[in-house]
Amino acid sequence: MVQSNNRAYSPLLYPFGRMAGWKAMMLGLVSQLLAVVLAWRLGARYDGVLDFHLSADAGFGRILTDQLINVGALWLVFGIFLVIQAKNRFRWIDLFGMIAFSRWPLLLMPLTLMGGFFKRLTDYFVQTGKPASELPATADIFWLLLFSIVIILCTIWALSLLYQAYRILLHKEGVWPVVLFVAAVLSAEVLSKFLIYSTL
Amino acid sequence: MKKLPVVCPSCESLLRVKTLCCAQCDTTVNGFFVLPVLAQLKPDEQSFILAFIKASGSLKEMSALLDLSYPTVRNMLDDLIVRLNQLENGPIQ
Repeated sequence: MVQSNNRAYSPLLYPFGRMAGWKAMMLGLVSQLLAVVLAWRLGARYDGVLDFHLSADAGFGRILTDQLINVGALWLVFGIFLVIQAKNRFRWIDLFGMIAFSRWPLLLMPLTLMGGFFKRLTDYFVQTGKPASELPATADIFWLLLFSIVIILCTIWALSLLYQAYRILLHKEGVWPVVLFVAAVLSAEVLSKFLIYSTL
Repeated sequence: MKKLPVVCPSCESLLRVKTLCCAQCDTTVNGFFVLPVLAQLKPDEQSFILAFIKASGSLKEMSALLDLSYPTVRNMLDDLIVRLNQLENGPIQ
């Protein structure tokens, strides 16, 4: 009897051992849509593959367009990189699905905006001539630091999932795949920024 | 079932077959036979090949059988192809 290799599987940290293709695609796109809805309701946007910023005045359409550009930029850049590098065949549906699903931790980012700590502190820091009585509360600073760490961890988590997807699709060992992964992420970031700001 | 040893426990070279015997009449054949490539694979690799053939070579079916994603099964097959090529082109000495 063939035994499946379960030792590396974990639904949160190593999902692609068991999930790829259409299932990953559907779950990934639904999570991205939920992230857009949350960002819209809580006043933020994903204005780049690696970006998450406060933006109270961005409409739903703008935030959705940003997100579609981000996912599209990753699909395009990683598609090109994998076509060039991957010695063996890969299915495009796996690439689309795994990349879409790798972004699901970004869904957690807008939750850090609940309570309005970021908004209060941002307003405070951009004000000029602040009266001493309006100094930020210690609790606000604590939450700001905590949520900043959460946002950084979500970004690292999403990048780690993206890297796993890339490694499974590429199936090569060595230093070059790592270097090219970094190059692909940076290229996707630049492309997404360019497309987002040229469609504003 | 006993596991067929393919590598020498002392020097890790590939083992050869020296004696074969008939379980029915107890006839013994002595010689020097090389193990077939498939027999040189690990038991889990042999099981993978058997399951792959039974699934008519469908990676999708294998994926469902093993509860692994399609690209993971594809990578397992690719690793096996590399291993078979290594065994065919030059067995471990």
